Amino acid sequence: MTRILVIEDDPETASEITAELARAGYHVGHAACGPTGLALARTQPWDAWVIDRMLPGLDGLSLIQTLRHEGHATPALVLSALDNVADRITGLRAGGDDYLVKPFALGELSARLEALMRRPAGGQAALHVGALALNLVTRTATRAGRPLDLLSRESQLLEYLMRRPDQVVTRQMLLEDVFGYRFELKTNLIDVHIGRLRRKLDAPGEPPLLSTVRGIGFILHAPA
Amino acid sequence: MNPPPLTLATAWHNRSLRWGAAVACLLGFSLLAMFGLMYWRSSALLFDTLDRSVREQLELLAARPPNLLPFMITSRMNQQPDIVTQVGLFDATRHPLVGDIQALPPLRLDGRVHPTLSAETQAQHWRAAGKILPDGRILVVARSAEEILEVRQRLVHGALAGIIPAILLSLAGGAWAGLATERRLRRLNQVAERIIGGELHARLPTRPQGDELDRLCTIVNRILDRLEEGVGALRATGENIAHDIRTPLTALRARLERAALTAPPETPHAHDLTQSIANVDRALSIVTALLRISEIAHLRRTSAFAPVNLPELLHETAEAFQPVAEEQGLTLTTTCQTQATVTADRQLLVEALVNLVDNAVKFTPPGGHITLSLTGTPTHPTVTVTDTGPGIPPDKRTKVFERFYRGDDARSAPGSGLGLSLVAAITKLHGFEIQMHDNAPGCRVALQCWDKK
Repeated sequence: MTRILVIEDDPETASEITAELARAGYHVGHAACGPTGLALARTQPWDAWVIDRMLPGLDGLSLIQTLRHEGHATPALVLSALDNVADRITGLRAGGDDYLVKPFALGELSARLEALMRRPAGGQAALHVGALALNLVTRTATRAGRPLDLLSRESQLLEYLMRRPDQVVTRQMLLEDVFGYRFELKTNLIDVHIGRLRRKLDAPGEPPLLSTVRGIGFILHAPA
Repeated sequence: MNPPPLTLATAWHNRSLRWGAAVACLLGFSLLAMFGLMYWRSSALLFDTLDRSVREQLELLAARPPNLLPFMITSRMNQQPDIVTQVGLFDATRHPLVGDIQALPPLRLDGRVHPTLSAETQAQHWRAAGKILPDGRILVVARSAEEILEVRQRLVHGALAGIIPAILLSLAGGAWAGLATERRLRRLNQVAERIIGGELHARLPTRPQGDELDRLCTIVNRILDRLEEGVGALRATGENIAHDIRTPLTALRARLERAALTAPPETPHAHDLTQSIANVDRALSIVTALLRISEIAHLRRTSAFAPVNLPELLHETAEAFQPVAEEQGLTLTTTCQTQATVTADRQLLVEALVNLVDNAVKFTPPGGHITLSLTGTPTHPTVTVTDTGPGIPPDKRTKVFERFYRGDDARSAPGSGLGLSLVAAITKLHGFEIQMHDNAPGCRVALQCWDKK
């Protein structure tokens, strides 16, 4: 069973996070302050850490730094009420692997955690998901041998999705990672781009490859 | 704005320099006056002495018996060959009778001493007195004034040699003191500009020996210490409020979200929950935007500034929004008439441009047209976003950049209503300028991308 350690001092937030993660099928451990969190992280094996930045006793970033110093490589997701580029950068420099600003949707949290634990492998020349193929050198995509005429942004979107098959990819992840927009934007930008990609992926009669997870994001299905 | 280079010409407008010049002038005048007085008094004294001896001599000779006079004159000449007083006796027709004055100089013969010239070819300056004796002969006594005149001339030369360098020195001293003060003030100004620009940690330079200005700077520095402390505390408070508001809202949102997941779908209950989540999100986006605006306002200019290629930025943004515009039945075109690279925080500039384009797309009805253009020169580029939407009335064109202002038409549109305020904050951080004009119809937002500070 996948084990996740949540270090969060606010009891309400902590209980919501643990409840959601338990519902998603994870085994969840919880610590309400820095020192306890450090002790738990050191003594038990975890697949991922969810760590709040502001913690009593020992702040989140120092905690991650300490653990990284001791050689722990477990992926860490930093939660923070502060949202600015400088904070994000210090968060990531301290050894956090991803950074989520409060408030966040629970769906966003699980999607990010899953993405962290299933880090896509790099260095491939081509990606294959079911009948879909994307050549990363020539940037050409095919579905069952049929060439897909993709714009460059669409091919970047497809690459991002193909690297995370069967995972929920959120709108925020796409905005940040594909468009480079690290700010709040209330727009249907992502939906429009995904809509176009979807129409190009699915020829009439073909089963849809890309489905929408309501209120959260999208999944690219890999056929069994 | 950079001050013009420091030269005497520009420094003339400086107060201390003008004071320096005034003091130098005053010093020059008083030196001249002092010399004038000395010159006048000393020459008067010298002439008095001379004149008295001439007059005495004349009276002495005139009082002699008339028949002895020629003999006295010649014997006097024989006794003292180097005598400085010259005497001449002339007959009534002004022919010389005896004495060493061979020709009668032009002179009023009233017995008083007058300045005159000798009647020789190389005329000498004389002080002379003449008198018509009772028997009609004319007696003249004279002394050369050349020595006194030479002394006077030497006095003038000496004074000029002393006074002119003194005036020049005092002028130079005044200019030097003025320029030194001016330079100091400029240094203080530069630091003050940096502090105004947001570098609250900067301090005015002071010197340990400490004159009045240094004492003033020390006081200003102490004020800055307090200010920095206060701003720091305020910022920390702001961050704590952000944390305090966001944490319960996060919990609330999570609970609502979980409830929505477990609620039977397509029921009024589920609908209410979705609505509630949307409202929480809206409240949160306002808090987020407000915090972001104050955060940008507190950013230091240098934090993440690097060269940003504007045409590239425009094309990227246009490419991202092209499908969205098309979906709404709008056309979006981009024109770049210049190559320009500006020094900016790329992330923030993207955020500003995306907000402008996003607004244009949101408020333009189908069939409309949006343009993104880059005009001007490489050093003074302007990014313009136009739309053919309802536009903004002239009296509200500056208001839209204020926090929380939303046009009536915009009330129903999604968003925090802080998009343009955010753009304004980003613009200000860069020292750029943003203006809103009429596009007839629609609106034209011009972002002048050069530092105007």
